[in-house]
Amino acid sequence: MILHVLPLVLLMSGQSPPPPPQEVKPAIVLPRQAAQAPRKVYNETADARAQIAAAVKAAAEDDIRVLVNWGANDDERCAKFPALQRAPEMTGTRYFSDEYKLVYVDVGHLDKNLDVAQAHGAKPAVGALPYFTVLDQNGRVLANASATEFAAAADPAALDPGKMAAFLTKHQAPAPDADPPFNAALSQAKKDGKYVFLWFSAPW
Amino acid sequence: MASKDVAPVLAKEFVNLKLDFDRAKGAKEIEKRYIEKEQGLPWFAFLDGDGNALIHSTGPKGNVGFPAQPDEIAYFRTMLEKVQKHLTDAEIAFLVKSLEEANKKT
Repeated sequence: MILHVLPLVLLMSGQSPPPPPQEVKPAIVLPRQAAQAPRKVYNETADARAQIAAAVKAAAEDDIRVLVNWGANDDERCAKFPALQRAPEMTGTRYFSDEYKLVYVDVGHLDKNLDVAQAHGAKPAVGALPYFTVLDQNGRVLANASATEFAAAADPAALDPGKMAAFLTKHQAPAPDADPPFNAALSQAKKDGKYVFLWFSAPW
Repeated sequence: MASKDVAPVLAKEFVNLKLDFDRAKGAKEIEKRYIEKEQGLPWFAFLDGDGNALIHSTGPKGNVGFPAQPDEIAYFRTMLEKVQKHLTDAEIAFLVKSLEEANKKT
């Protein structure tokens, strides 16, 4: 970060540019190259079953859902998915902080983790990535959908954030009611001669 | 609080209740019974069986949230001592130490 802003700082301070370019260049250029290198969204060496199990466990703690995104790092539409999450249609509801645990599973060139996908009823296919599976907090499959269902009218190679948001809203967990567990905890505390450790948190 | 070591110790004194402040219907209203202004998350309170708060996480310097700094951990100790009925002094010391160690790891 410091290396990124260093040229700007020097420029604004009116100082002369740093001396021998051949000495300075590697220190500045290398981090920039690293920062610009496309981040791999799909972990190509991860154990897919373990990834999904961890997401289900985390979702169960917060009574929310899991969205499995089956895809590949070199697929154009898959690569666009992280940016799609920042579309206005997707940020009104905090889908990926409050409502879903998102897990990316690498299917490579449709030669990886297909057995895991099949076990979840998912059918990732050429031209239809990413493929999505919604799981409940017990790991039960609630919905499967191909990217083609979310194709943008203007650009079929892109995902429509509105369609994606509608799908996520349809399958998100119903909001829990705070009163029954609150009253149950008070009753239990009274019965056991204990106190209630009441804490407010959020899935994020 | 969910750790294997800490949870059983806390369970001697408390019934644990986590409410999702943003998603759970009625959670904000429940918090308002104990403090008027939203405090940020996490926020917690120790209640008796009738729903009365004996002490909550907003101390003299504000909400201690997840107690990490020495003064926040000290306030958490004060909270435990305020309601101490089943916990021994050694167990309170253990809980405090677990927070100190968690803070060192982060």
